[in-house]
Order: sequence, then structure tokens, then C-alpha cells
Amino acid sequence: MTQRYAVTVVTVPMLAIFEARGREAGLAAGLAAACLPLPAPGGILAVQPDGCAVLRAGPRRVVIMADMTMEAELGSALARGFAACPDADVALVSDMFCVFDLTGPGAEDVLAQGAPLDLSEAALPAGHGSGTELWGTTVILIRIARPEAGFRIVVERSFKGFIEDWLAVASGSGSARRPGVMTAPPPSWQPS
Amino acid sequence: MTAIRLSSGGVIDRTRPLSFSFDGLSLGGFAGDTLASALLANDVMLVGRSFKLHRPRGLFGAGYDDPGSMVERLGPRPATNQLATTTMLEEGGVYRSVSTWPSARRDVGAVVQLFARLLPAGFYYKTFMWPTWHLFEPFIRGAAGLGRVPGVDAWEPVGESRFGSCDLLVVGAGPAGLAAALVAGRSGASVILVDDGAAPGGRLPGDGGDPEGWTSACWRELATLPKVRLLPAATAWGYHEHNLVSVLERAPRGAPGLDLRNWKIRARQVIVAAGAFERPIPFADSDRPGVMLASAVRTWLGRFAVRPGGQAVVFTNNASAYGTALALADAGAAVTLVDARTEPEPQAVAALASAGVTLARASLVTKAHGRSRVEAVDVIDDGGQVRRLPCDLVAVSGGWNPAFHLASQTRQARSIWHDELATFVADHGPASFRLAGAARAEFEPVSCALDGALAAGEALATLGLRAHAFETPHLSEPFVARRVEPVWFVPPRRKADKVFVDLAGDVTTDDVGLALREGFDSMELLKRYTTAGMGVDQGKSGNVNVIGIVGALTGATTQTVGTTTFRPPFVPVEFGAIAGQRNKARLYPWRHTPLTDWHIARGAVMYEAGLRWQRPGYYPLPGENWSAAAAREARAVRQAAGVYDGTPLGKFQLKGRDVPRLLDLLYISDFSKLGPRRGKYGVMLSDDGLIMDDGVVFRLDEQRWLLHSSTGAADRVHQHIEQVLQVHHPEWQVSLIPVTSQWANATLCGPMAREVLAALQPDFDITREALPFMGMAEGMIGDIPVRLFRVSWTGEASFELNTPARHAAALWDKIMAAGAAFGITPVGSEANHILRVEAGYISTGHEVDGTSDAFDLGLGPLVSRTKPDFIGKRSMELRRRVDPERFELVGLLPTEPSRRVPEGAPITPAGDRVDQEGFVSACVSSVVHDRIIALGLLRNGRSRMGETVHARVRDEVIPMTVVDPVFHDADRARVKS
Repeated sequence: MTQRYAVTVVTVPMLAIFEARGREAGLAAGLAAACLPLPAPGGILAVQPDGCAVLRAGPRRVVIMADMTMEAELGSALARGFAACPDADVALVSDMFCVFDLTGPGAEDVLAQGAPLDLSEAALPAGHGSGTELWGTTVILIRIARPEAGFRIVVERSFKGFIEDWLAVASGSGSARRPGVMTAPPPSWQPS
Repeated sequence: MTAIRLSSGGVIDRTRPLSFSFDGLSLGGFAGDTLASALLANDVMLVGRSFKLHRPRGLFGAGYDDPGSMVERLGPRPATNQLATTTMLEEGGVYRSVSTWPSARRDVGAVVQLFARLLPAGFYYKTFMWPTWHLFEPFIRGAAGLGRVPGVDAWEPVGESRFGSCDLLVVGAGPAGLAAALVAGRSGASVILVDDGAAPGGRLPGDGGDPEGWTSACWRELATLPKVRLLPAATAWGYHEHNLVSVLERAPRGAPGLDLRNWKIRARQVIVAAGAFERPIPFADSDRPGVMLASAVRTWLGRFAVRPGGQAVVFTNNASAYGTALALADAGAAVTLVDARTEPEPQAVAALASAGVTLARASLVTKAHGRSRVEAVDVIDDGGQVRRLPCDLVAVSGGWNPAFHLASQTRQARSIWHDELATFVADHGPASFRLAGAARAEFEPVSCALDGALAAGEALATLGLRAHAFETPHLSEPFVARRVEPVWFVPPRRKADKVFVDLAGDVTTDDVGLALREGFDSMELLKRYTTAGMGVDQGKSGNVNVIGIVGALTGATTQTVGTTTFRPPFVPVEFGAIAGQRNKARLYPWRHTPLTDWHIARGAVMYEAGLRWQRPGYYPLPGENWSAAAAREARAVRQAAGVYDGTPLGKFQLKGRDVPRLLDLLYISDFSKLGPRRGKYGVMLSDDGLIMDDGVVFRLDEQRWLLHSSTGAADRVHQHIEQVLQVHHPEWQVSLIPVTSQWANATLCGPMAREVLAALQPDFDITREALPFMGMAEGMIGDIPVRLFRVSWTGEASFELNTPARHAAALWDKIMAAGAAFGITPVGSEANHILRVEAGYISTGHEVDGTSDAFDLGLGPLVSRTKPDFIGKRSMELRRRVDPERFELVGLLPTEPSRRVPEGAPITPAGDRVDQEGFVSACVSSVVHDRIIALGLLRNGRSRMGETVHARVRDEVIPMTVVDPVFHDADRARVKS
């Protein structure tokens, strides 16, 4: 089926993801122990030379993403760093999130069907991310720089099938809903 | 034939002829035609029948102001209630008039006109009262004037709903809107320009089709500006809070296969330049086909090169219709202009004279003659002389009503009467909202453009941008309404004559008078009683006339009479466009555990079980229904071992010095003494003292805790804790990280569970002493890391094995392999429900229904007597003091052991139809007792053990005995084993 909007959807192989929450000083100290910076507030994505990316997802929230090969080492460093911080904590959440890359000139048209965020480049420039709603789920959107141009979508893995279906339908392709789910509950559940 | 297509002009594409049919007539048109313009070009004046009386009706307006030229499209894409004036003509289109049979020309339903005198306003309310309105409703609705929804072939338009953002939203691409968009776009602002026409230009006659014209030049330049988005064929239909504007775009460009797109545009600034609607001067039988708005005639001539008549009467009370008269004359029509004023503008009079148009001053058209099209009108002069003028077209202009609907929808702009223009205008709306051009009662095109540019400049200033220079355009329209002498209607000379003031609802001046005599003297009441303003055009053509007539009949000023409320939608909007693709399985988010494929591969029937999680309901074997499968799985847990997917349970990692204080505030129990590697069950209340959730907290080590919530309440609990930490106690040193989906779960349960666990050969001690009830362990099972909690919700020994989700399937495979020798079976939600009801455990959404507190559900002993406070404590105590008679948790045994009682069934005293004294919260077929058992909440239930109570299910009463709510493992020996 021809797509309505010219986009490419790629499911990114599993990334090492850590989430840190706490007060600013604690976050900075914990990250510093792992030789990572605490970006200033405003959805800035700080990408390190080794590819590890630190996103300031909120005043008290940081998301760290790296290649899976770095998970163990990065995890140990972060654990050590945050163990010494009484007012901040870190957790491994690689299994909790899945990541899609939506690229192409129609990417904004597709995402705008589910995200109320201002997706213009002026509001969300490359190298920035923001938490937002996407078709009723909570996601982080990160603008991918040109030439690919598009968005990285970080969403809880439990919604993977739902988001896949929406991305397919919103781009004008057919539904990608997984067979065998969303069946009707047994008759006893029907209202009497 | 009197209506003709002119040999040149218009924005139609004469190189692309189109053929279509209407009511069985084979006709032709051109690309760019609307169905309405094509019908007129074919001299088809009669396009339908009126809503109530089936009177012959023609085209009245040329756009959304047309009050009723609805058609049914039989193909392609069958659909009904399409407005002919906004339906673009397409090759092979087959159309028919709605609610007529066999056609609009020969409509059997027209017989109702014989009884018109018996059908005044309010007729339905007064007549069809006995025995019930619903007896008559199908017939009445069948006879009334909207089309039937097509059958199986009905068009299902592909809709899209999307968000949009911009610095400036401009509504309308007439002179004011184009100028505003141009100024803002040149200044670098992001602009969305919305216009409901197929071509820009608003009411600039024909300019949109002129490649050298100002409109075309503006449009071309706007298309080149990088931050400007043009939305033609799009209507802004609703203004909502904080500049959120709904826009419906039809057949969007660059989106193949898409029929409708609904925009939800959040704009920092809004300029509404939506123009103005012309209003008629109603006179006797002015609803006849061939009587239409002068502005519509201008549109037919200018945009579509259609002259709707050869012998025209133009009836007006203002100068704007002079332009229409001149345009008709220029197109070769014989024109007489009837002006209600005694002193029209001299230059207008001179222009008419030089064009050979006859002028009748201080005169009124009193009546139209003809049936299926107008043939003549009666004109009365100020001396009382009546003469009859033959004609095939009457163009009427009673003045102009600025289209400030969106401003009114802000609920901040009031409508104010403008004496000179005899219409309502809007005063100030929100600071970020502006009206411009004709929507602000500025009707001269150059002034409109300058007004739009000025509004854009003001909007840009608030955005911190500097307005770009704007050149005054050369636009000529000498005849605009600057002075209007209101003529709300022309009283009929014969009492039997009808003056229709709202064509969409067949409302006459008599109906308005009747409503006033019956006491409906507020405009809002009168509107509902007469249905004036409630038809498809929502009063765009008739509302102000109705207000004027009410004023004339009651002696009140028009300002005092006031307007009705403008509400969205401004135009009819398809529900499918609002929903977009958000339907069926995409209506709400659904979630999967990492084991979904595993479950499906084993035949699980998957459906939602809490907070949108798709979970296995049961795993039927060949020939099993759901209840047999659930019973088999539950029996396996009671007798051997089972494993179920508890992944969706909410999980929150807590760290910090003040976590004990937080837990003590959240839960009714005392958590401050909870030591490392131990867990505790807790009940969380909301601020109003009712149970929000129950769950288990484990202290992982000295620094960290893991809080489990129920599946269904996970989001609510998260918000609750965040509120406590961010709002009530920001000073507390607590870090909270939700980790629900990080961990997959396999809950191993049953008398053989420990043996199965041993067979998995974990690298940690699983003896009773090392791993007691509410204990925990961490380690490896083979190469899989696990975190194990001893918790039970089944009434059996349970081991909740948690592992990072990537290992979920491997862990389950290992468990199934290790458990095969012990008869292990996977267990779904249905079996789990049986097990927890037998064990008497409460569940969110069943017993925890938002009305119960801890004492109600037998959890009173958990309430700390040493803590000074916890959330909900005061409210719970206060409520119990005020009303000690509470619904309390009980067990229920139907007198007939096999009688299943629907969950939620009310319990009423003696089963009578009186207020309920409780309800059945859960009912299952017990595998332990081999009979139906139930839980319920019953008023003073704990003191009523042994009593017989009655559930009422429709007309049946089911007796039940009140028993203890724990049916299995009452001493919890099995759980703790």
C-alpha cells in the first residue's frame, strides 16, 4: 500500500537506557561520577564522543541512552555515582523502553496526529527532546538532525505494538495490529 | 431557459467538462463547479423541498450560508446531506434531492402543504403527547427534511485528526486575511491561513481566478514563504480555550487517499477575517426558487460564470446590491432594482442609470409569484401603488452580518448593536485574538486589506516581531453597505400569505408571533420553540432578521432582544473527521507484557485486564470453553502448581532518607520499622479516606524500597506519590523512579511451587527459613538474573519471580520445563480471579470500588494506632462517625449452588425494587467447594452472618446466605507454607 506521508519507521535495536531522578545537585554529582554532564534544563540532549546521550527530560529527570555494549560498564559507573548521592537515584530501564526512528519529510505530519507538542524545528530543534503525549501514551520525542531528519520516539515497551500500529496507520499504510490480541472477553463479562 | 453559463469568466476549467445527473436529469458542468453552480448553469432552479412543509426550494446562498440545498450523493461514494453549494462537482456524479419522492419536481410529500395552517411552531409538542412521542417519532422524522443514510455502500471517508501549532492563525483568505497572512509571513512568523473557499479572495468578485489579480499574487507569494501553510477548502469551526482552534480541511492537498482532516491548531495569535454574511429581506413567498441573496448572485457570476436569471429584480435596503445589479446587467440581464430607501447614494443611482438598470426607490417587494420558480413579484411604492414585475430571478440584500462566530465562541467578546449598519458586531475578545475586515464590519476591500495588515502588525508586536511593509492594494468595489435602513421583513398584504424568515427550519413570521404570544419571549427560548436558527445553516441567513422581527413585534430595541449563543461547530463537521483514525483498537492505548507472544503461542485468549494491559484471560484446550479452562487452571494451582504473568503490577523504586516518612504518610500501616529484605502489605487511601490501592512494599536494601501497586491503579498511585513529593513535601529527600515494565514477572504458585522452584536450581537459598512469607531474595536461575518476592494473592504459597524483561520468555520456558513433572500449568486472569475470591482477597475495581474504606473491607487491624496521621485518616474517621452504617465485605452463597450472580448485581431488602443495601462484587465457580461463591459489600454485613439476602437481577431475585468472606485457607497456613 502506498504511504500517504513519506516516512521510514525503524525500530532501533535495544539500547542501554538509564533513568535518573532527583535534585539537580544530586543528578549532577551522580552523572559526574560516570563522567557524564548534566545538561541545562530545556530538553537539551548532550551527546558524548562515545555516543552516550544524556537528555534533560525534566527539572528532576535525566535519561541516559547508549549502545547496548556499554550497558554493564555504564550501569556500574552510574550505580557507584548515585550510591553516594542521597537525593538522587538511578535505575536501569533498558528493558522498559523501546525506541523508534521516524524519518522522512512526512515525519511531522505523522507525529502531529498524536502529539500535541509543537513539532516545528523552531520549537524542537535538532539535539533537543521533550516529553509529550503520543496517541495517549507518554513518550520522549527527540529531533534527529538532518540529513535523515525526523524524530526518535522513546516509548514504554509495553506500548510498542500500539505505537507501531499507529505509526503505520498515521503514515497512510494499513494497520499493523498484531493478530490474536484485543479479543472479546468471555460472555460473563458482558453487562447483565 | 433563463439561467445560463456565460461564455467567459469564472474560475472554472472549461477544458474539463464533467457530466453528472440530478434527480434523473443528465447534466453537464466543468471542473471547478460546485454542484450548485452546475445546476444553475443548467437552469435547474428547483433543487429540493423544505424541511417541514415540503415547499419547493432553490439555491439561496452560494456557500455555507445556504439554508438547505441538501442533496444525497448516490455515487461515487454514496453519502447524504451534502450541501450543494459546497460539494465540488465530479465526473459521473449521481445526485438526488433529499427527502423527496420521486423527485424534487414532483414530490408526493408536498401534500403536506395543504395542512400547513395546522402545523405552526410547537405543533409537535402540543399534538404528539399521548401515549408517547416515540410512537410518532419514526414517522415524523421520516417525513422531515433530512436525507437517509445510505446502506451498505455508504461512503466511509478517510479522516485524519491532527495537531498544529503556529505563531499566527488567520481565518479567511479575503482581502483582510490575505493581507494579514502576508504581513506576518513576510516578517518570519509561522502562519497558517485557513479559507473555506476552493479559491482565495473571499467576496472579491472573480479575482481569485484572475492570474494578474491581487488575490492571486498574494496567494502565490504566500505559497513561497517557508513558514506559511495554506489550507484552502478548510473551515475554522470552533474556538476553544487558549487559542485552540478546530479546522476541518476537505480533500487535503498532498495527502493522497485522505478525505477529511481535522486540525487542532494551537496558535499564539489568532486573526479572524471570516467576512460577513448577507441577510435577506423576507417577504411573502420569498422562499420560492429563483429568490436568492444578492451576494450569491454575485458569486455565481464572478466565480462560476453563471447568470442565474435573464430578467432580474434586485431588492435591497443598502448600496451593496447595486454592484450585483450592475454585474447582472453587464451579463446581459434585464434588471430592475427595488430600493427600500428613499435616498440611495447618488453615485450608485448614476451607475445604474448608465447601465440601463431601472430603479424603484422607496419601494418594497411584497410577494413572489410562481411555484417551482419565481415568475413575478409585486412591488409597492411609498404611495401604496402595487405593480407586478415579471422576473425569473430575485436578488435580495437586507444588509450584512459580520461573521464573528469564532469571536463569540471565545466567550469574551460580546455582540453589540451597530445602528448605522443595522447589525451586530463584536467587541474585544481575548488579547491574543483579533477580528479584521468585514468580520469587524469593515466592508470596503482596500480598507479590509489595510485592517488585516494592521491586525497582523499588532499580533506580531506581541510576538516580538516587526511587521513587514505592506503595499496598499488596488481593489475596486464602489458599492458597499455603509448605511443600512433595517427592513426585517415586508408584512404580507394578504393574511394567508406566508413570510418565511428562516428557510432551514420553515419558520415564518407567524411562528415568531405565536411563540411570543405563548410567552417564549427570550431569544434562547424562542429559538428552541420555533427552531429558528437551528437548521443546517445555524441561522447564518435568518437569525438577525428573527431578532429584528422580535424587536418589531415587542417594541424592544434590537440590542435589548440580543442574540442567541454562537456555539461550535460553525459548519457541519463529520464525526469521523474529529475521530480521525482513533477508533476501535486505536481508541485507547493498549499494552503488552514481554510475554504476549509466549501466551499467544500457547493458545491464550488475550484481552484487557486492567489499565489497558492485554493479558491472557485463559488458555483453552481443544473443546474447552472459558469457564472450563479457568476451572482447570485454578484447580492446578490448588492441587499442584501454576504460573501467571504478573508483569503489569505497578513498580516504583524509592530511595532517600525520607522514604519511611513517605510510606507512613501514604499507607494506613506503620512502615517505618520495615527492615531490609522484608516486605509488608499496605493499604493506601485517597484524601477522602477511601481506598485508592493496596499493594506490597519491599525494602531492597538500606537505601532502596520497591513499592508495588495493583495493575489498575498504577498510574493513579504514581500521580498520587508525585503530588505528595512535589506539592506537599518538596523538602523530603526521596527519589521516585517508575520501573513497572523494566521487570517481567512469573508468579509461581501452588502447593508444589517450592518444588518447582527447587527444580529451577536457583543459586540462592529457598528454604522456608531463608525465604519466609514476605521475604525476598536475589540471584540467578541459570544465566537469568531474578529478584524473588514471597507474596500471595491466590491462597497458596507463591513465589513472584521478577527478571529484566529481556529474559522473560526464557524464564517462563525454564519454569514450564522444570514444572512439567509437577503438573504446572499457565494461569490466566479468569483462574486468578477464582483463586483470589476463594481466598477472600480484595481487588481494585471489584471490592475497592471507590466507596469503601479499610474497615469496610475487613482491613481495620492494619490501621496503625500509633501513627499520628496518614493520608485519608481524618476523612475516614469523620465519615465513619457521621454514618456508621457501612457496606462491609462479606461472603455470599447463592441458595442454589449452581446459580451464578452477575458481578455488580444490587442486593436489596427482600429483593424488592427499593434502594440497594449492597451489591455482589465478585462471583466465581469455586474449584475448592465445587459451587458458586461470591463476595459482596453489604450494609452492616459483618453482623449479618447467616442471614439470607437477595440480589435483584432484572426481574429475578436470587437468595444468598451471608458467610465469612474467606472461603479457603482461612488461617493462611498454605500461603505461609
